[in-house]
Amino acid sequence: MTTYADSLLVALLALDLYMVSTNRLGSCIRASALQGVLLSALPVLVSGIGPSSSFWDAMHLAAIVIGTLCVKGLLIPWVLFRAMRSRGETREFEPFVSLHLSQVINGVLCGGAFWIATGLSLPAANGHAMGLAVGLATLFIGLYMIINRHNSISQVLGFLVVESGVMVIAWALLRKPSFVIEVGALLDVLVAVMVLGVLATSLEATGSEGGVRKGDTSQ
Amino acid sequence: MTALFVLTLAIPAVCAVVTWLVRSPRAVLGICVVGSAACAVGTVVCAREAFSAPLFAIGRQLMLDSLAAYHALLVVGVFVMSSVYACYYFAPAIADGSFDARKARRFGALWFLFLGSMLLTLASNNAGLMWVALEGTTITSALLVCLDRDKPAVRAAWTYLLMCSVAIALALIGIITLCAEAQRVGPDSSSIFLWTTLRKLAPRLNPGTVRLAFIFAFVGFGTKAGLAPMHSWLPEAHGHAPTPVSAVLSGVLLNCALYCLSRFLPVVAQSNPGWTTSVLVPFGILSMVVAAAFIVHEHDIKRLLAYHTVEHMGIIVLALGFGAFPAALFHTFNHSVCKMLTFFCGGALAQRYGTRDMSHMHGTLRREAVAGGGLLIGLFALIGMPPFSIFMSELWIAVVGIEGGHVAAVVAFFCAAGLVFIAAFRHAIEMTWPQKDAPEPNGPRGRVGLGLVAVPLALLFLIGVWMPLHVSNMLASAASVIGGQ
Repeated sequence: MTTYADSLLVALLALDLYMVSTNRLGSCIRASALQGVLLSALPVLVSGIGPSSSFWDAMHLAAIVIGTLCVKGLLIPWVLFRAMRSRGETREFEPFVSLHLSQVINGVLCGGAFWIATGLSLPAANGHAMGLAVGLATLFIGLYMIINRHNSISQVLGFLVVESGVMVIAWALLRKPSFVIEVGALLDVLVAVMVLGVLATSLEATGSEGGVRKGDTSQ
Repeated sequence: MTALFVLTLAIPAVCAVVTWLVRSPRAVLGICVVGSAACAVGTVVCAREAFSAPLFAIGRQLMLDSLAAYHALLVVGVFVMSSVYACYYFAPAIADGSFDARKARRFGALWFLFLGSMLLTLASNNAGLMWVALEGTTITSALLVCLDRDKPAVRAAWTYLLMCSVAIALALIGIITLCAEAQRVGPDSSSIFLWTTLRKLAPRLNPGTVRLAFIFAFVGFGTKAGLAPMHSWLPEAHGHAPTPVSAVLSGVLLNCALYCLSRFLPVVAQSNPGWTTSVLVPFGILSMVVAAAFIVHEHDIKRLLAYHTVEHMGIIVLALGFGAFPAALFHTFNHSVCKMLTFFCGGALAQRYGTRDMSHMHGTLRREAVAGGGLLIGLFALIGMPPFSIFMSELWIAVVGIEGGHVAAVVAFFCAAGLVFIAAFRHAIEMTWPQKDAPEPNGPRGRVGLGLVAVPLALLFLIGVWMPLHVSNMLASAASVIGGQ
């Protein structure tokens, strides 16, 4: 099981790096959807709930897996694709730091995350020290994406990556995550992304993006 | 009593649905007033019980102890007043048709969802549920900020939602780390998310892990509370939101974020005695200094008040750092009441003058006696002028700081507060002073009810000169929860 879990974590990290290195929004959204699908499989591998577990534990696991799959694998990508089409933008044109340099920076961030994760004496319940490292790396890369990009959709994708990182950390640290956290977080993320999608569309509708002008004196 | 507790939490959800079904903007605003008043009655009754012994519901997932009850009372108080003010604020927009039934329904539903998620944040014993509810407050309030859908408001809501959602995700790492550590030492893995369990296990937790958890929580909840240097969303969101929403955002939402942080304090203090001071005090001072620098140059009335919020959040965090918990809670109350008052008056003046720019507002006292007078005295109270209660709470915090040996911090506190005093005093006088060649204000009559100004002012004055025994008992009881007794 651990080998599968480790492969899954590596795949998650690879998707992070792919998202940082592409400027096509469609590919980014697809990568994020795939990440959601992989994330939904993670609990099956690491939660320690197997055939011998109680019925309710199994149901709990099934609800989380199906919920994550639907929300992160289907609903959120759909919302983002719709927002992207209504904005008529398919590429991130002007990241603050070029994509090549971004790759180098993210390599360093990953290294940093692994170094920090081995240094932290955290109680990794499931024996997945790698889960913590990948979670931290995903978190850092997500934060980097938000800072580096102008485009609203890219920033929402960055937020999703951050959130995935938090969930990986949760699965690495907790023996049995609370149903409230899992489902609540999923719902919150869904609603937040939907609202962000609507706001991104109305930002486009009300004119080009940019900072709020100083001296705006409407009521 | 448990049933009433759950019922009170359900009232906002029911009202949100009801407002969605109503067709008239005036009826929606009426429901806002009645619904929040009903919620307030329920909260007051529950809070009376909670101050003697904590109330639990749904298998200890929900809890109303004295700290939660104290904050809940503030929340419902500010909501009731702001709902009444919303009737005044939206009256011109209803008259000219820009606040139509659709917008009103959206406002009403979001208003109640916002209230409900805030009360749920306070009433959660489950740290995960608390986090979920706090994220709920961010989403609902971001939608309220961009109620008008004009570009600056949408941009402000965007920044607010993105920054706070990411920050709160970091706070979740803090919560997870703390619970994972509790899972290591605790026998029962199902209750490790409960604050009551975490407090019991606190002495056995690994100090290093708890510190790490607190840092994550501090960054997350600190961003939501608008502490510098994570405050950049705050002036935008407060400035562009409709004024009743600004009043609630500034008056109680930020308190909720600090409430979440103060749930961590007893756990951290037991495993790392005295350590939180070294985190909280510098950030408190920094927030005050940054806010003071911006207040000097700010010309937008609502952004000015927003920077005052940053300053006062800094003061509350400083008080928490000093260990002056009753003073911190007292200051929280004073700030909420005063900020609500100043936003009401500032919003009414902005409507009257058709601008938020203070350099275009002159002779406010003569043109709008209630709003102008309220803002003038409210600003004086806000910057800590005696005999109002903010002066008393700031003095209390400074005394505790000096007694605890934090002389340098107290000196910095006085310097920043002094700068704010001078800058805001100048703004207040310039607005009040009439100017001969100033154009007549052209906006609709920006009205604010006399009661909405008189009640908060009377409260600030009375509590400033005489603290009733009931209030000081409430403060002591709520503070004992943060102190871990």
